[in-house]
Amino acid sequence: MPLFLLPLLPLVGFALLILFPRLFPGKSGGWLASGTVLASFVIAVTRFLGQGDEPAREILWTWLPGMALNANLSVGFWYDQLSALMALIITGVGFLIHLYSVSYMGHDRQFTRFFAFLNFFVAMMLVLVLADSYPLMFVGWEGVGVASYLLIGFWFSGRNSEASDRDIREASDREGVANSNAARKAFIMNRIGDLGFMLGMFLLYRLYGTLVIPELAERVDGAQVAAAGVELACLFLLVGAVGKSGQLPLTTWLPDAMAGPTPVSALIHAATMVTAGVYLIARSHFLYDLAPGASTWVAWVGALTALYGALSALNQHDIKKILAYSTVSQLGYMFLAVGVGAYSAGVFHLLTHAFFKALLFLSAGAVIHALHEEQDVRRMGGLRRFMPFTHLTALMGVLAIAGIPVWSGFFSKDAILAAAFAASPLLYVVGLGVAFLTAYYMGRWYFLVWRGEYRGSVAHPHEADGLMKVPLGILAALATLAGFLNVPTFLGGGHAFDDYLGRAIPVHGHEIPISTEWLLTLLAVAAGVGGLLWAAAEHRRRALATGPLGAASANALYLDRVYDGLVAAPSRALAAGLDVVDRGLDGALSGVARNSAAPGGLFSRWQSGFVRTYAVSMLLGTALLLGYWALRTIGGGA
Amino acid sequence: MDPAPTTYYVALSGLLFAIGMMGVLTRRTAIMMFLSVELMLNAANLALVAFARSWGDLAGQTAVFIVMTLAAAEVAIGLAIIVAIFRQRETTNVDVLATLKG
Amino acid sequence: MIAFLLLGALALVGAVVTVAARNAVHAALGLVGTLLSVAGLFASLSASFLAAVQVIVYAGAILVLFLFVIMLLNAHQPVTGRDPVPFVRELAGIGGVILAGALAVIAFSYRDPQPLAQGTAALRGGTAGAVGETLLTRFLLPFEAVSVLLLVAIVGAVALVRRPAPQPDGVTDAEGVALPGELPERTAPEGGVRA
Repeated sequence: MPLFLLPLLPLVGFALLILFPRLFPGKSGGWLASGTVLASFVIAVTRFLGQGDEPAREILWTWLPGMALNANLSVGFWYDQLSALMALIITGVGFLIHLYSVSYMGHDRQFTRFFAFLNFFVAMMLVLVLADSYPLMFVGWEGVGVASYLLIGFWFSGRNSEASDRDIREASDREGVANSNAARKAFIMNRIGDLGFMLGMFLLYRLYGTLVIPELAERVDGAQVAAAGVELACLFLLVGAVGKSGQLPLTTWLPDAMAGPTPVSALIHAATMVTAGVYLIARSHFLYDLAPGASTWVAWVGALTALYGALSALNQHDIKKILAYSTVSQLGYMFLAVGVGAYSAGVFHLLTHAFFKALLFLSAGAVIHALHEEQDVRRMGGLRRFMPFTHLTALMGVLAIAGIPVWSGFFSKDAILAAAFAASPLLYVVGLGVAFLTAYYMGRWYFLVWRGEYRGSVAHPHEADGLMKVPLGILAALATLAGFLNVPTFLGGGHAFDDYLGRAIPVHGHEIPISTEWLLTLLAVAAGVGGLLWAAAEHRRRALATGPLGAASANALYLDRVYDGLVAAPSRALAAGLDVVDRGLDGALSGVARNSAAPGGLFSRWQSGFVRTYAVSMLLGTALLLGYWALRTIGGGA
Repeated sequence: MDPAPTTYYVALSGLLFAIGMMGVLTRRTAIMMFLSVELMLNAANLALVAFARSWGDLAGQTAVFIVMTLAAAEVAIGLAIIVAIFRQRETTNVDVLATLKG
Repeated sequence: MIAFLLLGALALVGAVVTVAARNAVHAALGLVGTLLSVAGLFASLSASFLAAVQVIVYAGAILVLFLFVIMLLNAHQPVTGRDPVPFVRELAGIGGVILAGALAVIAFSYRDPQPLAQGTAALRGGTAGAVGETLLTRFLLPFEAVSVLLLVAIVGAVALVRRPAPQPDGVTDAEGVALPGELPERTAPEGGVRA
């Protein structure tokens, strides 16, 4: 089946839902949207099963033929092992989240619009990962940005904008403003990253004369290009990736993005879109292999972001914010991996993270649903008794992200830590510390929400309904078992995942003695278990509600305020100054305008309103022109 | 028999155009102005066809065809406007409709 | 040549009747005369297709529409009464003379770029086939644009003459249409002043 069907089906779904919403009463719009994504998933699976070793390239048409300076800018799709995997994740996890949303968003008045946007997102994400050239990838890149903007600000007038009670309505208005600001923040910070991406593309075109990825990969080998140029291009691409993936320093939009509905947080801001940066770097591996400097930058950006996210997550009180900072932190791991050249490990963590983080978000969504939009973990607790099924799935997610053996996160995180150790001990120490912190704050999340006594206000929280349980169950199974796709050799495994992905992107084997590797694994497990035990001990002392680092962590290390001081405050001062100038100018211009209006009054009398006076003016004008022409004809014979 | 030269046709077209113009300016009901406008359009069409023969290019005739279509559309809309105005003002005298003055 | 003189004279007479007739019906009939003579002139210029179209569309359809509206509005009497812009008549006279003179000068200074017989031959008789071929090849885009324009004109004409639907609360004035959300507040109590 042709590749273009993959994004086309959700796009058709989007078009139908956005143009003819009245055709889809009740929940039928949600079912249609889920159906299109399921169809795409089926196509992705058939293509995956029929995939050969050679990548496939299917060109649809040439972009601006004759205008693109021989750039041969085709619009086509590129299907190798990496894009196959991404397509499977996007459509598979995407379908589960669509299914979940049919129930979760069931009472929303904008139900159909929500699914239109979700479908649009899936289509654009598929364009992004299947594109055979950077410009087409950029189309998808911007498309998912728009979808993200629309969905973060989905409740742009709050959730109770039509409530009869005035106070509730005003609170809803405030919530709407906050939601819209979060959406704008995400959009604007992404613009910074997009600028980097575009500069990277311009530079690459200048250096190699093509932006088609397979052609670029061929030309890179033979071309005589200054190393500094490649380094710079890679750094530009890194800026783009940093923006999209919420890495330092463009990270602050991602926690705010949790203003969107929870399925959106799960799909866009955990499982798929924010991993586009990792995908971009893995896709451009042939460039980063030539740019050791830029790769080091990638690794350190990742390591520092992982640390930043983990520290910020320690003392958050919003059930989704904890997960959001955790996402920032885990994305940092992926950047760390691709930065040290362990592309396969990074993409593997992307895969497992998509499973367990989507699972955690969906579990959190079930909790929020059960507690009637309560998001503060201090008013939860003991939910294990009310929601046994969701508790079990959430527990699987926590164990996976904490890196406890057998669960998927253990394998992927271990691979990253081993690669980091081989590259630089300092990176490894940071990674290990983050693993410990991760286990602690996820343990804190788990104990605060599910254990202890119930502190909420809703009398009887209800368990998630059947439609929500299905995705939770499937994701829990995947989060538990996906690690066995890539069991390392020293544990008796076959590296199946690495072998598969290795046909598309290089898998750099790191030379570490087996004894060291055992030691690293033991340390990682110790960090995970230690973190969880620490959280359990705190839980027993009932001291979990306030985590370590206090206000610094609760305010996400004050990064927002730093930006406010560095960027926003000077801009505001500048704006105020310009405002004064503007008012002065404005007054002067108003005076000029008043004085010019007086002669205008004379002319306005000509506008008598009689059609025939207008017509006669036209006639006189025409007669003068033609008369002049006739005189010239007689006089000069010209 | 000699065919009439192009200049005759163009001069006739100019005369018709001027007559139509006078009609637009002197008549005071909307319908009569409209009839005169049609006359002017026909004058222009005549010139176009004459030049088409002179240059041996069918573009002129094609343009006339398109002008005719436009005229049909214009008449449909114009008459509709006249009917709508008549309903409201009970007149087709354009001088009464001088409400757009500046 | 004889045909041109005959038809040209007829066209001029028709035009003068159109402009000068006091009765609108007479004016329309004068215009019919002009249109038919112009159709004859088209034929003499080897534009046979256009001549046919002129008769069918102009003299047939459009003029019938005119007559229909004249009858419908009972507007065949000329406007009498004070002319608010009397100077227009004089200005129109001056302008019209200048225009006619200038056009005549320009027309008689025109020189054919090639012998007339050659040009006539290139027109291929101006048959429907010849014009249609040009229309659907060189002028395809204007052709399609005009078709859209016609559609717009149809819709516009229907929308213009449609009577405004009576409002549920008895408000017939189009400006009095209330937004759904505003309705309760705007229904003023008895004796209240309507904004």
